[in-house]
Amino acid sequence: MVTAGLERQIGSASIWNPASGWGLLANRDPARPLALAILRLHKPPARIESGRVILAGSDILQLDREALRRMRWKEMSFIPQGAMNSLNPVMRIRHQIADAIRAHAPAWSGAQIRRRIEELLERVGLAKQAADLYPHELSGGMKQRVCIALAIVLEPKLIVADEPTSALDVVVQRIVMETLKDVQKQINAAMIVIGHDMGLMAQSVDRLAVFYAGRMVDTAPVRDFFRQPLHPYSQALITSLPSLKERKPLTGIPGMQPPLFDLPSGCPFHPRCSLAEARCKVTAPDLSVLAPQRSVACHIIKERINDQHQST
Amino acid sequence: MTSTNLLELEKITIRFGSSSKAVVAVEDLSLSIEEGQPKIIAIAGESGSGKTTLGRIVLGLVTPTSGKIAYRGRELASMTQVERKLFRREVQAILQDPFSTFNPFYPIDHLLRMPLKRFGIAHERSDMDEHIRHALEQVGLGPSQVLGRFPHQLSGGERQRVVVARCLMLKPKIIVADEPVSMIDASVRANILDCLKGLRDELGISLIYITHDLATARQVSDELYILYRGRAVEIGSADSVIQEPAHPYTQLLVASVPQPNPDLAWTGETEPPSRTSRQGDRSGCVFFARCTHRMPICETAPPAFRHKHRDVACYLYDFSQTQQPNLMISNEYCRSTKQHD
Repeated sequence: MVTAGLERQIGSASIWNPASGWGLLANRDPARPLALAILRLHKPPARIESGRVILAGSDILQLDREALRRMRWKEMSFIPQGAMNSLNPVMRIRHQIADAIRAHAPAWSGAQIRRRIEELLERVGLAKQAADLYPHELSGGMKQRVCIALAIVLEPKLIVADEPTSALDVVVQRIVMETLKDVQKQINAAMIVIGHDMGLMAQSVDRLAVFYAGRMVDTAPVRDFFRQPLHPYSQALITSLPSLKERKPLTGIPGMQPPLFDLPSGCPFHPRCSLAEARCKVTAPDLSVLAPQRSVACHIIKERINDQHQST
Repeated sequence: MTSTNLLELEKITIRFGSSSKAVVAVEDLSLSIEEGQPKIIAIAGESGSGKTTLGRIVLGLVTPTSGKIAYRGRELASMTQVERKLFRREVQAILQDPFSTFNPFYPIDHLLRMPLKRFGIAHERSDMDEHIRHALEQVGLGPSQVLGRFPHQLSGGERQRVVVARCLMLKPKIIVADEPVSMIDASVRANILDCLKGLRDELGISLIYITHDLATARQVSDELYILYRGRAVEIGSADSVIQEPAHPYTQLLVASVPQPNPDLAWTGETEPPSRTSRQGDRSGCVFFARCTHRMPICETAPPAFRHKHRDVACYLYDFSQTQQPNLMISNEYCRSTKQHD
């Protein structure tokens, strides 16, 4: 659970064993603080109220500063949203990558580092000459790939990618996502992708978790999710997508996502939900397991599925 | 130039920089909106294709290097002050980032009253409030929801709607919307787009919708311009261009849109275009370096052909030489959608 500011709870969720690619689907802030909390990158006034983050057997939240510093980048790395602004503009790419290696693996020789950098750049589809360029000499897609190269330099166990392609146009988007998925498989890391682009999620993750107002409301394997979305919010999200294949009336979700310090009573989605009943205004539903690997936080959907199980 | 055109852009070219190293942002682009026939024109293309520059030309913020832009039959460059003021009022902008369009120090009321004062639309306080209330209601905002509040107290969707309301008060004829929904929640996006569509149908306002999102372009627009490196490579009705893209670049764009269906393969280029291919010379087809159908003729001169009621800048559609249409060009990026349709 992550808390910030005036005791407003901004997220609570459990993710078990992110074995391969996870997608956190969130339209506004919630999933991001969660992901930052996983890496303990959250900043005050946010603080982690309770919970555990276990990576490779150790609880990240219990580590002291030095142990955390050692673990970051070596065991878990982060690909930030704006690749444009996350590279140092006055350092050549080579030095930025070497910097990360030296901080975590001081024993490496200069030649080893050089070889590693060249190999890395090739792995993400850049020419090795790119190492001697400055960030401003690269296009947006190339910078984003340098960020990917940086994230995998020490072959971490977990990569958290925050909207890794939101600043790129569709053609480059695909190239970057393919690169990311390729290297993730090569180094056998787990990956968490945060984003709001349903199309991108459908194409790049294995499991999906939907967040609404700071809570995880729906989680499912990606195929099941798009074939049969369960939570009313997930359903509305999918129907509100403008289609490329046909022209049809646009249907949005009425209303706005509530501010996190002023959530409605009961289920936070009830004011915008087409299925809402009286009980939804009173009690907030728990995330409950409704099918193998699928959990949904909704009273009504839960009841429907249970009825189906009984009748069969 | 006919007097029936509300807005007319004729062979507009914009060049930035000195002649040797000049960057061509927009080249030879023509576009027109007829009086009394409001329509939504979508301008799509990748980053750096000149979309935003085109929007800035229409708004009169950039003077073209060559070519003519006229509003109500008068060229922008030779407008009198009175005409220019009318132009400024009737051609409005909605920008991408609703978080930076407002002065954070003033409440929304003040920001909405300002243009009314400037253009002399209303003088009395009560009159102004009436205008503001009406405009807010038109975009689906309750006046009590926003009035008296500061920009930071509103969500992105609300702010973007306030921007639309601000435009509406001035009774514009044309709105240039530069990526109006790209920074907005997916769930609210549809509502804003619906609101923009309503402007055409109910108020007769034309819209120039600049976007890189082909799906929304298809949903809202009548005409679609696909820009690549400053040139329009395909122009036609939005529906048909996206359904059956003719230009190889349009085909690539359409194929690259990730579909919200994990069973459909994500296709498109896997090799990044090299940097040199993005610059190159402009004597032939601008897409030459990336095109999979390139032929020797493509390097000779910029192509411009008609195909299925569309302008397509591609030699594959040059039917003048041969009686037989060229081999029917299949979309090789085409994903498996066909089987699913």
